[in-house]
Amino acid sequence: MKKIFAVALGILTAIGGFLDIGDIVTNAVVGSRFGWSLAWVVVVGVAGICVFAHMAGKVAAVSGRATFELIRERLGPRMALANLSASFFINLLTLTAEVGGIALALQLASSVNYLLWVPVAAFAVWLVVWRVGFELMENVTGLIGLLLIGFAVAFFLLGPDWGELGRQAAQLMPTQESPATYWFYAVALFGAALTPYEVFFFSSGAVEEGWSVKDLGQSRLNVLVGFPLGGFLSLAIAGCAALALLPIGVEVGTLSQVVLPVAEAGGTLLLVAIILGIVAATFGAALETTLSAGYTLAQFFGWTWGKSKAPAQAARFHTTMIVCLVIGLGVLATGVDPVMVTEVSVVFSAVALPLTYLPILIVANDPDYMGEHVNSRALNVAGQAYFGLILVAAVAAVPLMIVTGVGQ
Amino acid sequence: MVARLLLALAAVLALTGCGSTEDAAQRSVAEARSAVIFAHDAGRLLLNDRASRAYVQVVFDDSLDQAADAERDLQGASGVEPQRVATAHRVVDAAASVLDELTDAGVGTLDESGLTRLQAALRELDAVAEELER
Repeated sequence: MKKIFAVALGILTAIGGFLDIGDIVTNAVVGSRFGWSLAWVVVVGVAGICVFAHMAGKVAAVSGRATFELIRERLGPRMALANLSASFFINLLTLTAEVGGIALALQLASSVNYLLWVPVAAFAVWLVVWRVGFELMENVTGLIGLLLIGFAVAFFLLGPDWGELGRQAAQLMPTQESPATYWFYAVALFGAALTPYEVFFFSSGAVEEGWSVKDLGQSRLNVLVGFPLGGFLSLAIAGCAALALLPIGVEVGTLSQVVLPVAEAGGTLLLVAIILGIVAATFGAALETTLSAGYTLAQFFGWTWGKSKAPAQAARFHTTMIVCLVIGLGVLATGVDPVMVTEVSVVFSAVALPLTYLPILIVANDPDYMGEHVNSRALNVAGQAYFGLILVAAVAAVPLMIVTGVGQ
Repeated sequence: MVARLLLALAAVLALTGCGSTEDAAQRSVAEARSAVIFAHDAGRLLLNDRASRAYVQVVFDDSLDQAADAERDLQGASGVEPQRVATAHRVVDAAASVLDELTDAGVGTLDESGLTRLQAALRELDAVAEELER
């Protein structure tokens, strides 16, 4: 019974923890402009994150060490430094977007300007990282984040025209948008689904929680059930925007627009639930990106790391997290639009993906580390196919961003 | 090397006409239209007790910002016929002005007459959008 409860909790938190501000905003923007014609990218992206998160979890459970430690050992400091530079920068950008997301969601609840919420949000993130246990932190934010199921409820309450949605999903290139804009958002959605921090956090979290080979089953279930259900919520967000905003010509550019379909479908109660869900999801993601900043740097330089370690024991690990939060706070204090930061962060995530995922593929294939748990042939084929896609997305991301003026 | 490759790819995409075909006047009218519809729909929800006052106030603030962006885009428009810009300016400014007044008054004072003013602004924007399309 206890085991079933643990498995269910793991899956539920994986669903709630799957969505972050990048997924929420990008799916709503795409739904309001393209309907469901980019739904295929969500499906492809979710399958990709399942492949690589499964590998990263397996590496951590089998070796007892986090991915970044192994990357440096297996591929040498040069390759690890390239990986670190890209991952750390993208992670910092994502952290900034998440803190901005918390502030925007709190603004929706209070109508107090988000800039006043930014320092509160950053302080709360630091406090939780410092004082709250790993499991409690994960479970609480993941479970409250489940309120985002409200998007699925709203989607059904809006009475979807399945024929029209099916037609949109089958239509590869809507005529009202340029091909460059379409492919820009395809890359952005792909980047949002495969954000690098998710894999680093998943792997380091496995080490924090002391996973071993006997936990591989649970890890597989969390990834293979929890993430696709999270992907289903992504489709619901895009679907809500496709049903309520696309027909009236409202293109999502703010978080307040993202939740308008929810209020239309379910009234104040559902609106409040969704806002709470967004606060929890972005707060959870801010915690994960803050910790990921500490993990990547500490694992690269061989510092003591771990959430359970007191600041005095892992001073550099904790200092890194504080500095990153302060930088994110500083960026947001300039008044830059957090939604724009989010859009840029998912595009740059796509650029950095090869550097993040190639080393995982290499280590997961190394029998010296993995023993009998080395990647199966099928997993390798999937991993290599995805790596090809990742390369294409990474090369196309910046030119598409320039040509479309960040998707305008 | 990589930067050069990316720039070359961007140039190819730009030259093959993958960018937007709308001009600044059309874009600004569309943006202002989106802002007005958004505020109107949220205002309707508030009057029907289907959205919180705090949320709708944020919607009006955001709509006002969006309308102001549309005005700014028009000011910076270059290479567009002055007459098209002037036509767009007239309706975009009018819409921004309605949003400004309603937002300043606070959504607590919003009533049916406020929504009627937004509908009127929307009709004007629709008419001009159609005119610019021709």
